[in-house]
Parts: sequence; C-alpha cells; structure tokens
Amino acid sequence: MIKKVLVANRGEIAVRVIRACRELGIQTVALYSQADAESLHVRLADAAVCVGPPPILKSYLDVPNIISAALITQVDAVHPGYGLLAENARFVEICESHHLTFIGPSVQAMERMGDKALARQTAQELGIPIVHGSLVLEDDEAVRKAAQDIGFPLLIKAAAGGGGKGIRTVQSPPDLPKAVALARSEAQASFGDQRIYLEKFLQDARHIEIQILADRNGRVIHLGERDCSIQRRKQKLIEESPSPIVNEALRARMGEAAKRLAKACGYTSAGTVEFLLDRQGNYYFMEMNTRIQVEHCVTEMVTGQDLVKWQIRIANGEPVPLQEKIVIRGHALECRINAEDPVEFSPSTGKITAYLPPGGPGIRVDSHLYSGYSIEPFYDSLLCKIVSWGQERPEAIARMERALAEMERGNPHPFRGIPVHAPAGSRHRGCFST
Amino acid sequence: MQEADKEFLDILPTVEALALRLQKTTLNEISYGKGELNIRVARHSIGEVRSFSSPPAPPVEDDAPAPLPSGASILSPRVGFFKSAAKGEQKALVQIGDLVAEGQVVGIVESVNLESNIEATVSGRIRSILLDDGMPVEYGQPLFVVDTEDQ
Repeated sequence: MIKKVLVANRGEIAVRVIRACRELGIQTVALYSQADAESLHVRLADAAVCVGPPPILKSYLDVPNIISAALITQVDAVHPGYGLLAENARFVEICESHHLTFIGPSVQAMERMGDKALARQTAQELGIPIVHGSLVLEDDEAVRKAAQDIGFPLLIKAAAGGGGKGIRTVQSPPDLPKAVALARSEAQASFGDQRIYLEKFLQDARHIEIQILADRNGRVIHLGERDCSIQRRKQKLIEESPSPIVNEALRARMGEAAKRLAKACGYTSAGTVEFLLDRQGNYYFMEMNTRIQVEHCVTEMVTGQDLVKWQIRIANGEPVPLQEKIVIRGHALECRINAEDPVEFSPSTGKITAYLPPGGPGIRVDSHLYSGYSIEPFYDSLLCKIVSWGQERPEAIARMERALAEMERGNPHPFRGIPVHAPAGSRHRGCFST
Repeated sequence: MQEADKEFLDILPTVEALALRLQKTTLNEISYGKGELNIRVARHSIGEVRSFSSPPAPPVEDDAPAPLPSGASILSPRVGFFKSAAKGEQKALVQIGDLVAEGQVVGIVESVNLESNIEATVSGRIRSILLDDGMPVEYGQPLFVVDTEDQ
C-alpha cells in the first residue's frame, strides 16, 4: 500500500495530485526549485524538498536529486504529473531500481507507445485505422518518395515527439527538404532523437481523444472522449466532453479501439488515445499519451470518476470499475488561462497582486494561483483551468461564460500585475458554437 | 477603487518587509503602526508545512526578533545525506574553529550512486556546523557558518 508519495512536478498538476493523495489519506512530499519556494504545491504538501536552482534541467529534471529527495523523505511512490519526467521510461526504470512505485504505466508499455512511429505500427497491426503516412524515414530520398506517395499538404512529425511538439506542416514539394532538415534538428534538440516520419495533413479534422483506465489484472475501460479541436499553435486551449459530434455508436467504436490498443501493449494506469476524426466520421489513430493529461478534469466532471485517485489505486493493485458502471452525465468544458499577453501571446511574468477565482454552480477551478504569487519566467505559462459542467452543452457554455465574466469583474484588471490570456474572450465567442 | 489601489501599493513595501521579518522569527504575528496606518501581518498556514530548509527555530525570548546570523553560509550543492568525513575515514573533514580556504572540501553529500564534495565558498573560520552526520539535506540548505573576518 502506498503511504507517502513524492510529487515530481509543479504548478496546478502538483496541487491536483496533492489533493488526491490527501483525500486517500496518503502523505505527500513536494519538490521545488528555488524559484518555486513560495509556490502553492510547496505550501499544501506535508513536506517539501528543494532540488535545485530555477532552470528546469537543474531542478525538476535533475533525476539524481529527485531520487535522493525520495530517499531522504522515505516515500514509497512517485507521481510524475504531466510533462517533465512523466513519459521518460528511463526515469521509471530508475524509480523501480530504488524500490519506488512509479504511478503510471510500465517501462515496456511506455516505450511501446512513447515512440510515435512504433505506436502507429502497433495500431495498424491491430486493424485500427491510422492517418496515411510513412514509417521512420532515414534519408532524403526516402522522404521524397514517401511524400510523393502521401501527397501535400503533409506533416513532418518527430518519432519521439508528443504533446503537439515536433510537428511541421509542409504545403508543397519545394518546401520539403528545408522543412525536413529543420524538423530533424528540432527533434534532436527537444527529444534527443532526430528520427522523423511523414503523415497526411487532414483538413478540418477534429481532435478526439479517448480516456482509458487499465488495472493490473488486465481490465481496461474507457471513460468516453474529449474534443480538443480548439488549439493555437498545436496547443490545446478549450476542451470538452462529450464531443458535440460523437454519437453513442461512434463513441463505443472508438472506445473499443482505444481499449484494444491499451491491452495489446499491456498498459496499466490512466492513459489517452488520440484520434483525428474527419467530416465523414472516419477516425484515425494519432498517438497515445501515457500520463494524466491537462484536460482530464472534463472527463472527471461528466463521469464522476477521480482519475488521479484511480492512478494511485491502480498502482496499489485495485481493480477498475466495470465498463457498464461508467455513465456519461451532462456536459463539461475546460478553458485554459495562460500567463500570456492577450494580443502578442508572449509569456508574461510578474507578481499577481489580486486574484479572485470564479465559483458558483457547476464551476471547478484547478490552479496554483493565489494573491501575491509571483510568476517566474522559467516555467510553463498555464496558470489556471476553469472547468464548467451543465446538464446540457448550452448550460455548460453559459456557466463558462458566466465564470469568465466573473473573473473579469472580480479582478478589475484580471490578475492585476500581469497580462493574461483567456481563449474565450468575446473575440473567440464563435469557438463555443463549433 | 483607484484611490484604494494606490493606497495599497503605497503600503505594499512595508507589508512585504514585515512579512519577511516575520518569516525569520517564530512569532505568529507582527504589527506596525504609524498615524492612521496600522498593519498586522500574521502567519497563516494551510495544512502542516514542514520544509527541510526550515527546521524549528530556537525559542525566542519575549518579542525580540531573532538575531540574524552574521558571517557567510556554505550551502549544500545537492540533495542527499550529509557526511562530515570522506568515505572510509573516521575523522571529520573540518571541525568548529578550523580555518578553511575557499575551494577546500569541508563535507560530502551522499546521494544516489554518487558523492558530491561540499566546497567552501568563502575563506574564514568555521563558526558552526548546522547538522549532524548522516542527516538529510536539500539543495541550497545552509550547512556551515563561516566567520569571514576571522582569517
């Protein structure tokens, strides 16, 4: 049984994990960099260990210091959150070699799904449709041939990529060689792996992802879909569940495909299988994320299941509920609030001098903010997730609009002190009615 | 509204200074008054917070603020366990009263599969060693206090 968890992350997801642990009666140890000494996750945890100076590589990604923090505080498990070390199979191995339970999938499952090209191959072997594309391409001649076969526009993707990173769109053949060279060097810099593959660019496709839970006894269930089609620079801004264009039959088919994939790689814990859905209702496997996702809250709102607690319970060997126990009730939306200039989208930093989160029926706010909190330049710009729930989609939208308006009125200059960006301002109202 | 905001911004530095002061003591609150102005800064903890970097401070007599440590601190370069002696050695690398030179190894942090030397970042005389052999340390934790004027 897990009694004490090291939360190897920061920001809102560290707060989210600490909350789940507290509800389960599990003690928590927070990690922090010197820039985060005053961060909320440090305040909320039972203990906290400083692991390094502000830059991520020297603190939140310094594996020896993180493992040492686990050993000096005598935790029995590590929760990685999302990003940072969450999909690093080597880190999972190191945890295991120190008898620390990694709250997530096994090394093997993570490696099989973490390599995007290998994951596509696995899906194809299982008869799950994939976007027309290539295998990993070694040289320029192979790239040219594959591009000819796929047709333009197309996407260059990093084999080791994920989370919308390492993707380039190419409109026509003359742009291809330069784009491939750039994509390779980007992939090398970001993931330490320069391998790439090509994929057809699907026009007007929607991003639909299926949430799954898999226990250690081989039971896999799905918890419906999330529609994450509203993105900016391949980063999600607004997510919702259920998708307004997925009906029950399609949900069942996509859910079964996601479960088949998870079973095939011996997956355990919470995971997400991402698909593209075209206008004709055809779905294509894109990739699997072997972690809890930022947008997990919308699934929690409509299923009533606590996904972070399920990650911990699965790590403890508990069985997940039967598929028929999962019922989708109502409709939920999530709106990400980022520390960005609303016009230029450049990251903003500074001290938040006033912060009043919205509340009332059907509103949930996941955030590490408080009045007096300083936003440092070293980290992700996500500040706050506002989640709304309604009986029907229009009610969820009305509640989200009401919550965002409250945020504006409650904070005369929202988050006084720094410019922030909420995607659902009046300019973006159309996004709600897609 | 704007009037109130300006007032708040005016007193903000005072509030911050009081909060900083409060952090360095074991007091629960600190107040400051001048004319119509009266500021009270109190501790408010959400849950129980225990950081390795802030072990319970010694009790303070009356309401006097705790004396701030003078001299320079040598901080831990890693997370791990503090060792006062080199591996296989009995004798501590330094003791209270020893003169140390900048760059001299004064202790070890033992962490996962590796040992990191703690080097003196200043020259001077060791005034105190802040923790016992084998105790856990975090990054940046003060380990030694050095009197720099006493060379």
